[in-house]
Amino acid sequence: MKPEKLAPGLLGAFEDFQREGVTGLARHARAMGLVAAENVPKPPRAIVFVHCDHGARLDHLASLDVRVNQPQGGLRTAYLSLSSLSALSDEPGVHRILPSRYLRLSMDVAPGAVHLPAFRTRTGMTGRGVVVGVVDSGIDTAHPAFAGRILRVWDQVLPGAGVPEGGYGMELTGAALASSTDTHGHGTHVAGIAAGVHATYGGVAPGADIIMVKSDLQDAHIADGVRYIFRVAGELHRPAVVNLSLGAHWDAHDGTDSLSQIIDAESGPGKIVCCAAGNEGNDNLHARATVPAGGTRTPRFRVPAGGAVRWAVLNGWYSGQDRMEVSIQSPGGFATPYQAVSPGAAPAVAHALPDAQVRITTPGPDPINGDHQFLVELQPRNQLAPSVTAGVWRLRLRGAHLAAGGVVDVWALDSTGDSAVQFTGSSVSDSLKIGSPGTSRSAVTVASYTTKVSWTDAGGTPRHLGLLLNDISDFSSEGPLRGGRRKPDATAPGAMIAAPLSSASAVRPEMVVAAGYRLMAGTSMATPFVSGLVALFLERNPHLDPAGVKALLAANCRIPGRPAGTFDPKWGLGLIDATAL
Amino acid sequence: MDRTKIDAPLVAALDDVKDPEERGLLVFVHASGSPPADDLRFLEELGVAAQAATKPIFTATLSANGLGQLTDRPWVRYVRLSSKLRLVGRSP
Repeated sequence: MKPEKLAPGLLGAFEDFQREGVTGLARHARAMGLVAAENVPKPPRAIVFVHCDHGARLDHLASLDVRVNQPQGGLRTAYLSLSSLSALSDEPGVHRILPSRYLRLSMDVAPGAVHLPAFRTRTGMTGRGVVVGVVDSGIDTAHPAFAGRILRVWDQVLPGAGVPEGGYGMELTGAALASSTDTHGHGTHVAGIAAGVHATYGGVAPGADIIMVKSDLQDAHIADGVRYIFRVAGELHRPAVVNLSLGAHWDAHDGTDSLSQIIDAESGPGKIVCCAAGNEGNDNLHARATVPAGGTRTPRFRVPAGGAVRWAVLNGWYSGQDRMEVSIQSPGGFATPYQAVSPGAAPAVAHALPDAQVRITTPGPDPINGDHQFLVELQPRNQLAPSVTAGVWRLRLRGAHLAAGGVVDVWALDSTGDSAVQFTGSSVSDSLKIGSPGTSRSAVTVASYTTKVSWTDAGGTPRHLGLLLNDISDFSSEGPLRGGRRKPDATAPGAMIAAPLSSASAVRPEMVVAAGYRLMAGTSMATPFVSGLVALFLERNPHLDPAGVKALLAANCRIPGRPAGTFDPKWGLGLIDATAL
Repeated sequence: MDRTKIDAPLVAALDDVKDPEERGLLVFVHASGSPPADDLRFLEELGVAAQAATKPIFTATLSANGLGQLTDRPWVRYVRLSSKLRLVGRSP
């Protein structure tokens, strides 16, 4: 036994157990992950965190009643009999053993913030009979939060014959579910918020069944996944809600993109989709310019130094009644010629500037919404350059023909996936930052509210996050949509949320709050909160349609301190209050 | 190839195609009506299941040559390139 490796609380419990037996554990059981009962022949057990060498081999301890849940990693969880603590501590690769503690964290705070517990107590609803579909990074099919309730997984990444909606990937059921993993961890967390079972960190609809589509995140495949979930749920004669905690800014931001249109077509009675608003509330990724006839406007954007930006793209949209000419000027002052709209010709023109490779594409109007789109793609000046040239770039827009006001909206995307490229100056616009599929007309689009900013991690260290407590999360993306349609629809708890941790995923220790549970934040987390709520609605009325869901939410959402029914582009109609649902 | 029927990202992607027979373009096909029966076999050859092709918008993975043949069909209204989306959860 190496007592110096045991955290004081765990050592105290161990010593009390040795001295008094199971009776001595009573004072510890409430605070720790101890499983002990008197008059039961099994030895008392503990759930612990194990700090160890990343590659330490601990599987041989299984014969000593120590079950280590992860085969590798510097911080793992284990389930063991107390009498085996000695063997675990004797392992040279093990440095510290900490007890799992019951904490009061987000998923016990978040439901209370919107009065969900009272709603569930009053109605008795758990989502039973409803399918919660999730298109995401996958799911930890062995996590106890989902035991016996995962109906199917369509793993679009595994090689296979696919499903009727797409001849790719593999459909899994029963014991074969274990073939699919969630190495990212996002999908497991999201599914747990919607429908996980746990005394403290349980989800909103713990009685619902789950269908997971593990996606490569191509929006065409996401659309196939939505169709798959609704088809399977229909075959089972079940209503379904599909959760999409994902998005980007490749679209027109008006709901006419292909994925949004498919969601609108597939939604209906008993078929609801919930989408995230996005996390770009603090990012200057949108610019708006009003270009005068014959004049120019030059929105500026900055590519950061440091070599992280391998490519950047500007996605621009304006009325089909206007015609703009587009040019780009590099930080070195080199500019492309202005490029006009060229329908039917070859509108993608490449330019080799001394400090960048540029391609500008200016096709004719998009027939779905009638508007013009242009793309400006930036790449390093040659193959040896690690990134797009850093500095301030200028997008040059010239009004060739204006009949609709000359308003141009542009979104910046880049290879970092973290909005490294941002607009600067007067063209920056803190609006229109909800992209597809949050733009879908029928989908419920969800903003994030902060219910928890402080916690104690699994190692006992207090942590704090720089967000305003009990307020809209500043990262939550603003609407409305291009064209003025209102989005988001509603706000729900999204920070910080504790939910299931996928055993196949990597996680920073400070994000782990208990064995098998981690913290995340984002509109990704707010969305399954609403998806779970919709599952409860569908249990009550399996034929509820998107308009019915939105009417329920509209009547029960409110922005704190403002009159009911007030719309705000950050809040939508406000925070959900389940009191009168 | 009817280039008036493809969106800006797909126009740009076509510029990068090295092998016009390789199926590497994941797209949404917007149809203005149901494809005629004769074209269902053509769609199957492109890898599109007949059931999927009955929808007004369906997905397909096409070669550049296949895309060209598709855009020449009168019932094809528009073709858009699929985009990669991002998960929007974070560990602050």
